[in-house]
Amino acid sequence: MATREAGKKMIMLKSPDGMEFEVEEAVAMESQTIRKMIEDDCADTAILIPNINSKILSRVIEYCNKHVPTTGATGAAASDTVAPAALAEDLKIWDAEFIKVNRATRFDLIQAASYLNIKGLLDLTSQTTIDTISDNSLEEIRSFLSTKNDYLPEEEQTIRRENQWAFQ
Amino acid sequence: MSRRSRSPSASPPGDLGIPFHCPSSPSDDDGSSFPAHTPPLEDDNLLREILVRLPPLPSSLPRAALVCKRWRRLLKDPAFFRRFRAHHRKAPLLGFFAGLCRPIFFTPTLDRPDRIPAERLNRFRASGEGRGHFCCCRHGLALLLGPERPEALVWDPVTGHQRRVPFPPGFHIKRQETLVRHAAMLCTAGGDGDSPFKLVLLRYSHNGILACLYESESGVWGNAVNTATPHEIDPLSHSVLIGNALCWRIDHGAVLEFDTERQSLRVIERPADARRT
Repeated sequence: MATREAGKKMIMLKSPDGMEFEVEEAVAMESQTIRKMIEDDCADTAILIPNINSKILSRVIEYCNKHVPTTGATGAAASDTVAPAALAEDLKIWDAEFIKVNRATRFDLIQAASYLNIKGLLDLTSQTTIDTISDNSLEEIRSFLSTKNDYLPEEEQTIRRENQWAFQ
Repeated sequence: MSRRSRSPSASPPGDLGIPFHCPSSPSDDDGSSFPAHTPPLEDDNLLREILVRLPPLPSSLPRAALVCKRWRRLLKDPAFFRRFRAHHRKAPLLGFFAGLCRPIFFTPTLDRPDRIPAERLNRFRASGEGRGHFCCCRHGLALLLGPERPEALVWDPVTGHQRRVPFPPGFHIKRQETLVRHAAMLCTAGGDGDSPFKLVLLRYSHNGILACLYESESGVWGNAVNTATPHEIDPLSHSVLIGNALCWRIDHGAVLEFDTERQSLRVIERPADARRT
């Protein structure tokens, strides 16, 4: 495993398209999948992240870098010196900007967050998807998600009748 | 329909504030980077991950189920339903039951399309079983004490699921003065129709109040515990859950507290200098 001069442990992440990202171990361990690999001593040299291309992996690292609990020179957590509410508000604003991506990228981030097991990123990407569709009509949802309506008209009517109150 | 169609950030990894080594430049298109793999909405696990975040409102799941057959299959899965409830934890208030003059009836309080018709939850009443003494509603379950049999009925008004718990020995007495009139219940996990719950019965004893706890996980009643008190429970008092303790208002401003962990019962007297405001 690579070690940087500052004494911070570094780790190399490789995307399948050949990019390598040297990141602090603490940042990489925001991913529970990578954390487990490190803890199981399976990360001696570099970790290949299959299925996640460099563009998405760089965004994932950007997210982890922002969300990793930081420590100051005294070793105290940043949250000890900055009011937790202000820190949370700052992250919320940052997240809102971070997730302003197109649909394909957001879906890629969902997959990456799921594979790498990064709960905060999975929450952010999935919740944004739901927020985008929840006020829309069925047709709009199908169109946005490229989902085909495979109900026969009579089947759809039957289901509507079962819970008529929900469609009023 | 509004789409958020902003281009993804084209920042190179060096902008992340972390060192990196880049042996080759990747192509930068806007298409999915998982062409050889299942897109997230076609992967059942990832679709569940997204759908579990639908708003916790009554119309959410019925409406989403109409998108396509696959969505309906996933949403109807009881395991998904349990996960949905666990994810949102705090359920919305659908309405309230009133039933001082038996039988009980439901009054919805949400606006359309989340306004569940009263008849849907009053099916129970229509079946004739809602004539029991209505004790409390907590964690999505309702508790009634049977009018004909000495038993408690734990009822999930949404699914209609019912569980009957016969009273323990010593609580069968039919004399009016020692009849079980107060009971309460709480879910110990999950909060769905099959989730474990604790149930507490109260009745008067020769010198005070007697309580007994039932735990659905073990399926047995604990030992009855007594507290000596001259006070009586306010007949209109409903239980309040504070931490692990169920509390009832009793006369003279005192509170009866049953600790569901320690299975202890005590009376908390009103402080001498307390004033009504």
